[in-house]
Amino acid sequence: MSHVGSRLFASLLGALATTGLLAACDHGLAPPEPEVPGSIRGIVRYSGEWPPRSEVHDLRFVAMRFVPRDTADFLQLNLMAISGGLDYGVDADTFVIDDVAPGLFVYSGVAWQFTPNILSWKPVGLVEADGGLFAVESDRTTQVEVDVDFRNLPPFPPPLD
Amino acid sequence: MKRSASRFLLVAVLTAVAVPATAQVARVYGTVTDSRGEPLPGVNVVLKGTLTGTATAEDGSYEIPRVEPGPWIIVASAVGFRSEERPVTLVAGSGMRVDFALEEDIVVQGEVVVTASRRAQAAVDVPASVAVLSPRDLDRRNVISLDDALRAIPGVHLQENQVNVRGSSGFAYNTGSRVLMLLDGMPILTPDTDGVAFDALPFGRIERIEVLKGPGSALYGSGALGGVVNVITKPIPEEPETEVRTYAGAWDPVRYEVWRAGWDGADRYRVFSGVSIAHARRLSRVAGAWVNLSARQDEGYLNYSRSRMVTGYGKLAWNPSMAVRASLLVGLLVREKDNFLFWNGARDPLNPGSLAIAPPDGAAPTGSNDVFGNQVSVLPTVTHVTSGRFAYTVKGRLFGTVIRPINDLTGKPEPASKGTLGFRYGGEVQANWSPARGSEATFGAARDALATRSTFYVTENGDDTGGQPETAVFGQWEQDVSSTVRTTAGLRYDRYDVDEANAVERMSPKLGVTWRVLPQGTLRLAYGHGFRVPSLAERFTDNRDFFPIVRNPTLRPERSVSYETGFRTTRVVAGAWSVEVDAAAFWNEYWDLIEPRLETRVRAFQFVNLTRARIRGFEASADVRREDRGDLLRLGYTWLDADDLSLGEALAFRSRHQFTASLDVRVTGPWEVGADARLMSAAERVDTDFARFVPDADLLVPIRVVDFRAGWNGGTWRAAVLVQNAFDYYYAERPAYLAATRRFTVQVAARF
Repeated sequence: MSHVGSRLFASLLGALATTGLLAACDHGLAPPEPEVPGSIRGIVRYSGEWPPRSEVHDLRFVAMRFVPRDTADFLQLNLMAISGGLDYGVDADTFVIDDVAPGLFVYSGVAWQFTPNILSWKPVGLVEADGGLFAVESDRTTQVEVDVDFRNLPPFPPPLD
Repeated sequence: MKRSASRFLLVAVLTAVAVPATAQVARVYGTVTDSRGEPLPGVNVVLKGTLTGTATAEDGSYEIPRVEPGPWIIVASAVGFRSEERPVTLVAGSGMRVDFALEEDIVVQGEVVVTASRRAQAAVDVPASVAVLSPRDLDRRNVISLDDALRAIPGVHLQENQVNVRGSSGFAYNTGSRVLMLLDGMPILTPDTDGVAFDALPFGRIERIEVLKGPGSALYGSGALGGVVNVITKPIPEEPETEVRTYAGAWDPVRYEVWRAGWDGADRYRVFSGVSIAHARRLSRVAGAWVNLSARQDEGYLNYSRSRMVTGYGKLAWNPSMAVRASLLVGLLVREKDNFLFWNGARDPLNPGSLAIAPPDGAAPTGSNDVFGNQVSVLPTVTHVTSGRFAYTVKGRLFGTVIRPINDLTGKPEPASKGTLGFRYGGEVQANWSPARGSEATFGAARDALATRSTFYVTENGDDTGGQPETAVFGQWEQDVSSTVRTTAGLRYDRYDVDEANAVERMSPKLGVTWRVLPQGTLRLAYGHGFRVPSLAERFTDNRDFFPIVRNPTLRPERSVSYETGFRTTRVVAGAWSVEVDAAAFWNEYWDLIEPRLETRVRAFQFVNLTRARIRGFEASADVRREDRGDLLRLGYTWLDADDLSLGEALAFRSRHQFTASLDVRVTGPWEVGADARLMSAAERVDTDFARFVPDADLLVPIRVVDFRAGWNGGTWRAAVLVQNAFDYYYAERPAYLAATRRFTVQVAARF
């Protein structure tokens, strides 16, 4: 019995190893295939009187792959492309966002953070051309333009139509 | 393992050391051997009908030093052997030698557990599912942290440092454990997040780890929503014991160049090492002590996951009289650790991510932070055995934690005033009464409170210190209604004073029936309630350092109701071979499960009562042992049907299938080999607000991990080589956090 038992256990050990080997064949998580990114280049033109400097905590161009319904949606960073901070008090500014995953953006513009709260953002100007839709393609640069009129800010959330 | 279990049974049940003050006593001594004359260590030798007794030493000898004169029956019993009884008449001032030669029992008695009923009882008689890990299980796997140990248990899954028993926990951002952790029966959940203190344990002096699967609130109160993990330390041995254990190893560089490209450290082996020294001895006839010192360091397999830790634990035991025993367990942990919070996506999982939106101070929140932490445990216990039928125990507990963030510029810890300082303190009285044969009562009361202050908390009254005192009374009655049927009924009342104006009261009943349908086979039925009061972190965290989080003082406790039926047996198949089987079907209902959510109403994350859930399942485990060689095969399978009844979908982060297998074989002479396999299907649903801002946070795959080990056991000296995650399988146990990759360990230990 003991000899048979030892062989049985040795066989089970081998079976366990084989099971593990087969189970582990696909290696689990792996780096996804790289997408060749594109980039967004843009120009922003300002008109109207700027808000006080103390109320402009941040100002960035934000391109979204979805239409936001609430400022809380601004936390869906994986569905957004965000520029660096834009200058305060200028008549016009430019920006470049590199390494943008290809795809369609449906709601984009300049966003103003008006309090220290990370969710206190609202749009001050939108990409209007082609109804606001633009695509980023691999290894290509997409050009956009935004006009900001501080006297006439776009509604937020955008109206359902 | 059997003898360890026996020794534990002795210490847990037969606690009184006979030490009357006068000389008018007798003593009993002798030797216990097996039928071939080989000495048997760890055999329980007791005065029948009392709690007085001892355990045999390594050479099989025993002594019960001070016994009242008169007629007695001496009983010797050990797992795997038939018990023997000897009637004697002891004369004052003299000793009597009583030797035993125990016959091997063809029926193996099985495990003895203490967690299910707050008293020692055979696992086969417990109306609940209980799994046990022995010191040998821990040694074989070079376990240096509790989470490593728990991964080997069927039905238990770890989501980083969240213990998930039969699907009770999902991913809760490492706050609010739904499994209560006990050290020698006393809760040691952290006083800030109610998290499991995985490292705050004396690993060199652990006797066993018991896991109660299913709600345990009827005896243990809050936290035992999904189960209880009880870490039990070794008693003071009769003879001095010293164990030195050291290990060193390395994390393998990861397979993918893309991942290595993101971090220089991933191109080389990253080392870890540790040493543990434990010594235990009797200090006198009535006192003994053990001490366990350990240190370890780990470069980590992720960028910013280094850790260094030193722990010191000591236990002093004192038996000043025949009926009184006292002990004091004290522990201290000092740790410096990088906390890796979330990755930088599936193309760069070795590096912490960062948020694209900068906060007002301009510093981008990143997926890691460094902390310096201390944990301290002080656990005094006094037991008084007033008669052979009644004993009571008074326990105190203090578990403190200090978390100090490390200044990125200076590299030094900030003052505790800029971090978290918390204490969980309290005590309990428990009585065990056996009014008649077949009747056991366990009842008591407990009082606990927190004193936790954190820069992250804003409490209801504006104070930054949380208290949340708890008062509880509990009772349980076990009654044999026939020679084969035992019933158990228990009830616990808890009251938590959340703040000055609000209190939470909870009644937690339990009912159980065991029916011995076979000599070593028991059917069980169990019904129980569980609950968990929200931790201070869930209720009061109000912070914007990483994400906007606002407090929610109105959080309600999570609740659960569990129904279970099961069958457990231990029997011999042939000769030295034994098979132990446990199968259970369970149905658990959950209410008010708490999860963090992005709440648009408050423009921030908030812990909220979110989910009504139902988890049904089936679990089967089998242990096949060859008792004479120590070979062991363990198989476990758990099937879960977990539904989120609020959403009408599968409950997030639960896997439908979990399979564990473990095999240890003595190949020849002192050489042993072994392997563990852990297979789990991918979570049926992933739902995390992490995925809003952390790339690929919703990426979970099946778990297929295999560990190998080979060892040489020469008695005093042992050495082993371990390869964990041998096939270098990459997976995530929780969102945005790559689980442990392949690592190699060499372990050398000596016990003398």
